Amino acid sequence: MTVLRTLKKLLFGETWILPAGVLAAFAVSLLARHALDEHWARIGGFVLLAGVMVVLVAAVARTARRR
Amino acid sequence: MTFLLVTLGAAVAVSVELLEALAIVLAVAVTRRWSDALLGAIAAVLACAVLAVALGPVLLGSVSLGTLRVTIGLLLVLFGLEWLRKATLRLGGRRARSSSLAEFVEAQEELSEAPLPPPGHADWAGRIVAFKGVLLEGIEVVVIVTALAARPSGPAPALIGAAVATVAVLGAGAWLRKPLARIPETELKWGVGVLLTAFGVFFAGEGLGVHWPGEDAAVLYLVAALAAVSQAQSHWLARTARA
Repeated sequence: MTVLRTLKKLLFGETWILPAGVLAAFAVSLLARHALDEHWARIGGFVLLAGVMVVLVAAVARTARRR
Repeated sequence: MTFLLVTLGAAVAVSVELLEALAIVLAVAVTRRWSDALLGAIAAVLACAVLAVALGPVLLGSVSLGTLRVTIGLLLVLFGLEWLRKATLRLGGRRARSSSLAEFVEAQEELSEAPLPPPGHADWAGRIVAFKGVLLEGIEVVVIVTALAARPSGPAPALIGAAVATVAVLGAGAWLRKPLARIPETELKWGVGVLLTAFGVFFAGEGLGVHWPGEDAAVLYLVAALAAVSQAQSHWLARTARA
């Protein structure tokens, strides 16, 4: 049971907000790629980086509040 | 540039994971028997080798270059952000600092209630604790090294980093218990989290058709940006905890 719990933690982390947030950030980036068209190649990376940073800040803030 | 950064990232990530596995194996060896600790550890290493052989071809075979880069990027961002989240909380004083010594003590406590079988009989409790510890840390090593090795430029930097880390940690094992307390694991894990997340964003961006300004050197400003955000948040957490 402990091994299963640890494996789940290993695969999905300790908080759902992280995998869900990362998937959302990637999904938003895919949408932005279509919307930004030829500008995507220049600024798309920063859209993805901003999304990942938002996920980090939100995940830390949420788990810090719980403690 | 990327070669060096991937080598460094793989070396630090693998070192931290192997240190934790080493602490558990040492705890079993010191409190029980070396033979049973080593048998459990070797069985876990074999299981991880099987996983690595299975995972590598799945990632590399019959997947287009763009999809491969996005998949690797996604995996690295997931792993990196989890490490970075925990390290930010630790640096902000909202979580206990990371310590392989604590893993050592925990493994010793886990075994303290199981009586040691007489010589000549298998110590399954010791073997299972060593196996479990090495397997769980080993799976993380396999996933990280496979993701870094599956880059289109080849597996060499990730494999060199992993090999250097393995030799270094096995060497550290000779010093046994005391040095484990001296290693700044929280800061190391924070660094690994920053590096893995930066690589993840970089590779995923490439897969999605991004032309990073500065090309490979983009990893450096991605590292700087992620480090700045994480440090700012940990300082803010520390300040609000004191207030």
